[in-house]
Amino acid sequence: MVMPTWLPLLFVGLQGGDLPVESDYYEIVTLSEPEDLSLEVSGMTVLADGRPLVATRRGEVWVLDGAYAEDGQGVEYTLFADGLQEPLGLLQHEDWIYFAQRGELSRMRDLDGDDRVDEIETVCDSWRISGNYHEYNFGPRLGPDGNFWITTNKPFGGDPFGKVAWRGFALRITPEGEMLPVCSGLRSPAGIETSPWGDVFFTDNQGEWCGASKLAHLEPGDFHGHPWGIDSCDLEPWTYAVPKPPPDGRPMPEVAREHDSFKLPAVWFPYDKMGKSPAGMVWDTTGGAFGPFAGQLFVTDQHHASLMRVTLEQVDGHWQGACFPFREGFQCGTLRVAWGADDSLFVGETNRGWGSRGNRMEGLERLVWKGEVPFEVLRMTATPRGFRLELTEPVDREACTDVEGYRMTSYTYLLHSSYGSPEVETETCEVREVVVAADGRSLELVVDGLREGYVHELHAPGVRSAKGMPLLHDEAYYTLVHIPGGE
Amino acid sequence: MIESPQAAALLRRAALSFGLFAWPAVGAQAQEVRLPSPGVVAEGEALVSELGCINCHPMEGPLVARLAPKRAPNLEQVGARRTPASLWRLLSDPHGDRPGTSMPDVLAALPEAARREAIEDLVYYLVSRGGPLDVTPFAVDESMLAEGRQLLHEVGCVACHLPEEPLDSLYEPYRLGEEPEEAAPEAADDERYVPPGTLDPPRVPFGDLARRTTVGALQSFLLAPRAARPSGRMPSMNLSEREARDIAAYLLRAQVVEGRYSESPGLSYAYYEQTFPSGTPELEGLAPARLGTWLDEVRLPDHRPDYFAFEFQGVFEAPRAGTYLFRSTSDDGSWIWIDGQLVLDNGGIHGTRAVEGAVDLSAGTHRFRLLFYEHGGGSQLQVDWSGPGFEQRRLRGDDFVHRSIPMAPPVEAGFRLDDGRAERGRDRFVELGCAACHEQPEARARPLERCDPNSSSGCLSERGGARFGWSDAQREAVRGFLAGLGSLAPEDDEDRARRALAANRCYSCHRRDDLGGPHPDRLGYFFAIEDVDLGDEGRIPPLLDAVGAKLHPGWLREVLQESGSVRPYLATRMPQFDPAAMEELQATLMRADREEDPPQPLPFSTEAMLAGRRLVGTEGLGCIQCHTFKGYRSLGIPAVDLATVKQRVRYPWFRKLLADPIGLGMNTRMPEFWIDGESPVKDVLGGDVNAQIDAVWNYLSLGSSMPLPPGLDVPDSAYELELAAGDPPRLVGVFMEGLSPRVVAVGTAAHVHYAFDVENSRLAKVWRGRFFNARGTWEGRAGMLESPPSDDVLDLPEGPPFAVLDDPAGEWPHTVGRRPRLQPRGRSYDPERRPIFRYALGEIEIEEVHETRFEEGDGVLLRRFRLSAPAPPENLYFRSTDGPRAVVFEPAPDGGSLAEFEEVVRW
Repeated sequence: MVMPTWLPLLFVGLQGGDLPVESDYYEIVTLSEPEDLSLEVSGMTVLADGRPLVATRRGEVWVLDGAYAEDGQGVEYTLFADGLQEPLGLLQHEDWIYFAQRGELSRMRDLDGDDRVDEIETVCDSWRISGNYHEYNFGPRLGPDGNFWITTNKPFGGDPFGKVAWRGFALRITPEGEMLPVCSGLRSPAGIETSPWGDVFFTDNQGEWCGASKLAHLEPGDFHGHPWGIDSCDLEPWTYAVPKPPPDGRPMPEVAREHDSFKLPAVWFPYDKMGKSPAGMVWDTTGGAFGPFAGQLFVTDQHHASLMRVTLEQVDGHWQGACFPFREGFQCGTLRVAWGADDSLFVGETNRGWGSRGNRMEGLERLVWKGEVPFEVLRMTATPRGFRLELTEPVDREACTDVEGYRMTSYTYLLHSSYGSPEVETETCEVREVVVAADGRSLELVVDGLREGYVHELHAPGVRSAKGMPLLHDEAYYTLVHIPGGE
Repeated sequence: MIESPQAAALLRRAALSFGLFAWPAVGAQAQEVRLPSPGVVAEGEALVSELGCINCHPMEGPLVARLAPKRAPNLEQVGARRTPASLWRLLSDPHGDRPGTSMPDVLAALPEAARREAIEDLVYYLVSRGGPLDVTPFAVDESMLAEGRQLLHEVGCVACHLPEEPLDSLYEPYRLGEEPEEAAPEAADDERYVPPGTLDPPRVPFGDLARRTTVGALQSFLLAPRAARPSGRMPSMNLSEREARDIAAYLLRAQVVEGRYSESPGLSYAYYEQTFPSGTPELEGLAPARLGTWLDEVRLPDHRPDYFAFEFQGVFEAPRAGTYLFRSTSDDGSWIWIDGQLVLDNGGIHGTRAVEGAVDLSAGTHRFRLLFYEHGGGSQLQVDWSGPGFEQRRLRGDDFVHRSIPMAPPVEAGFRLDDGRAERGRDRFVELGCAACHEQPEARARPLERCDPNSSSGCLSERGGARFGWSDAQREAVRGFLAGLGSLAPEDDEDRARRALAANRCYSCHRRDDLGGPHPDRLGYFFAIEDVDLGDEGRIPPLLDAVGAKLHPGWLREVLQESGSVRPYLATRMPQFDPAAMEELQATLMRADREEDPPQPLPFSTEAMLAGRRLVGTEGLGCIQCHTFKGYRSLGIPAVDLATVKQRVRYPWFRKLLADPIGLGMNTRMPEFWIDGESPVKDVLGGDVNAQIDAVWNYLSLGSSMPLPPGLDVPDSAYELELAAGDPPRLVGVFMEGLSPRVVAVGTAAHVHYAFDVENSRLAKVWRGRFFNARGTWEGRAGMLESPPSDDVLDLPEGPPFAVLDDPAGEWPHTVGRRPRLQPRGRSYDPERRPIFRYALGEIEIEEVHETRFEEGDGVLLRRFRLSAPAPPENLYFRSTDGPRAVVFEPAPDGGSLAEFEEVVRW
């Protein structure tokens, strides 16, 4: 057996104990909670005075004082509202706090400043629910058009509840309360977020007609794969083409080629490798105060109790990009994220009903950057012949040019009615050549066998920083919707 | 027999009842009753009624009511209940086949050949009525027999029937074919203390059931005994279908022929396709979609995606005595029972979750039962176990065997229905006078008052057409009665009550006025369900002294006729007898126990109510140390729920109980609180005893709207997600049975709670008592359909609260679909932070707020409305609880028009 030449590097000069770990760079602070409180965080926003406002799955909303203590102790909770029906998002807009409940988009406000809600108004209730537990609504987020965007879960478990319209959709609600459906084919879209440049994205959970969890761009008229809501597209407010029912059991790229409105996601989150249940997300708008990843996207995973990191780029009009592990080890499945006044990140958690890693059922934590920059792939982008990796530090040229230090495979998923898809059509991609840029901060990978529409999974255990450090996370998953300069 | 001097006095009072207790012994000769006059006369009277003499010997005048015959069995479906041979045996020798039967032998006088032919004709006729009996073997398993044995000896059957097994053997696991030969030995009376007034325990024989009927037919009979036996003497024991089946199987266990049952490897399983909104499967009475055998590692056999249940059952051999540990990993709920005892509870609707349960087992065979239920989402089941001598491993189906036992009565070959013979049988049925008792009374013999008791050919002679199998004493009693018919002592209400209590064998379980109560021979069969430290109060049915003064008529009726019960710890059930007889008994008891000038409680006041609350709690007299409270566990034993006091008990009796618990003779463990007129709680109402008793009464009068008393331990594990209502009101978004999926439940401090259906903008439900347990809404994936945890619920009629009506007398519009409908607007809050629900009807903006408050007897809800519109709308009506009511608008100060009004909701 030929030992890869990079292997000895790993052991020369590096004792196991010296290997950096995530907590060297980002610290998790657990916020204290009274014993009788169950903070199953379902929505979160940070008020102008820096206090987090937290909605829970139990339909309560709490204002938190003292949420920034270094040890997380001494947090005080005030009940702002109760009796809401599973609010799964909070958005501040003008003087109101908007939130989607099961049966309506609502807004509320505290008029006298006593931290108790005084008014709750129904903004729109143009959809119905049948009473299935899985009919969640997520959001809203303010779109570039000034409308409120929400996503709706389809019911799960079938009867005895019956089928109602507008499940499995992204919907826009105008400030006047009119409902304008945007996209169909969603399954369990637990996260929706407006990007800094105005495009709106959502995350969806692996299941039937959703081969793996994903991040996708919401463009009006698109069909995201789940046929549940197609019937609703015959109804009046739907102004786009009615999607064809998708074929059952074909690979995603093939469906994307042959099915007019079917939209591939920008990023697949390979099952179990990255997570199992992506939910809330947030773009890093701290301008560097949270570390080197400004402008990138952090996505929670309700099963892995982790945060994933995503870099996106637009290639010939298609949003696509890569996901990376970022931080794991939260106390419970993560669901919602929001920036604190000090540019730390509040991470809200609940795993009830689904189970997760961790040792608690619910809670709120804060992720704090400790000021050191980890050695990471800062960004992964596609090139006509392969991929470019930007790194957070200059690299060791010799180590990084050795193609033995890279492994890449590509695969996709089936669009089918079964629950989740295995990876299919897996092939090995040969990394032929690696070129280090003049400034030593990026690597050009020349890769054979690129396939449009497939996930390209990279492992780069051979990469070393100029200081001889391996990558903190040496894996990346790039969803190559389109090859730049391709057809 | 009772012979002590005190007993003699009792005897006179009890006389009316004795005939009945002696009656089953007729023909057996073992228990002749020799009573002095007037007991003899009274016994004669009882016999005349029991035997239905006036069905043939007509009677007129006031005595008819006293002598009302016990109703004979309804034979309409008799062919579907009994084998032909068993009918033949009964008709051939009624008194031999069924000792103590009240049916006379009406064939004995016929010559032998004619007699045989008559019997056969009658059998053909009877079998033709609903028959012949379907004798397809009924498959049971050993666990059913074991459950049946337990139930038969626990629920009260053996209050009247002889126990099938001695008490000691009931504590041993049931083994088919290994039961003791002898039934319970009965000690002689002089060997142990028999309280004065205790009556001999009835020994109603089961007879040779195994040759007479099938499990299915006996099960049907046990579920509704009055259909076959309208007399109601065999009462309904409130059995579920499964319980009735198990008792029937046990009673017919002689049908199991050794070697006929088969033992197969594996667990047997039943698969159900069913939704259980509460998440806890009640499989009773449900038909499985599939049955099967499982040999592999235990996991879920084929199933549909959601809403199904599996029940696995089998018997396993524990190799050694010791602790066995089970671990069930399931999504959603799973439960394991060993020998009928729940040892593992992984219930509820949840993701994959592992729960362990341990049980100490003896070496040998044990029964295993596993229940699994899947609601929505993923499903999984895996079971591991370990025990003495083996490490944890997967539980496999082939660790078990299951038995299936076919049971059927012996069948006579060659019996065929024969219309001609059946018709002849029908004629004989009428001729012989059977129909006079079984169908319509028919004055076919001389009037009772003209009967010659000493006739040498009459009924008493045993040489006539109808032979009753008299004992000498019984014959003397009837003779004595007939002789004194003209000068019969009048009956008062107490006599009547005693007669009814005796006729229905109430005295087997209850004692009243020093008469009756469990006989020492049967005392051991009165169990407490849990090991409650209530002494005999925890296992013996209540004393009936002055019960007509103690209870409200409504509650007594509920107990007698509607299975009403407040003693969850009693294993013995209150049977349900003939409703007409019970209606009469209830009225009789009320009259017999009526009190002149009963004391009245002080009028209701909130102050007194709050003082009562303090006294009931741990800072007062601590009633909740023992008493369950609105379904919440007491701090100690589970004595009767205090929330039921108002519904059941009358004030004068309550007052006596609190003042002197021992004095009521209930043998209660309730302590005396005010000793020598001195209150232990001095700072409530100045320590005044009477005022304090009235304060507690005032408080308990709120029933389910009582605010919880101080010290009640509410958030214990069983009530983990029980929500306490409070001030300000507590709001929870829920799915609620029968309403739209957009409902806000509101809990208030006055313990009146309500559900507002947002989708339909209407107040939908109002209830008193506990607010809400959020388990179905806050546990697991939730989304359960909730319902108020209360019996005291007002359901408001469906449809909008406001409508424009052309004709207010017409039908109120019903919301169908979305349009036209009221538009939900949201909610705001009043200064007390009560939610103001807002909705609109066109241009009319409506606000509705609900105030709750305590009132005497109950909490009430006040709805307050405020409507505003640019111009006064025409023909706008509000749907009040009394019917449509026009809404009157007035000009608003700042333009437009305004209407404000309120309505108090009581129910």
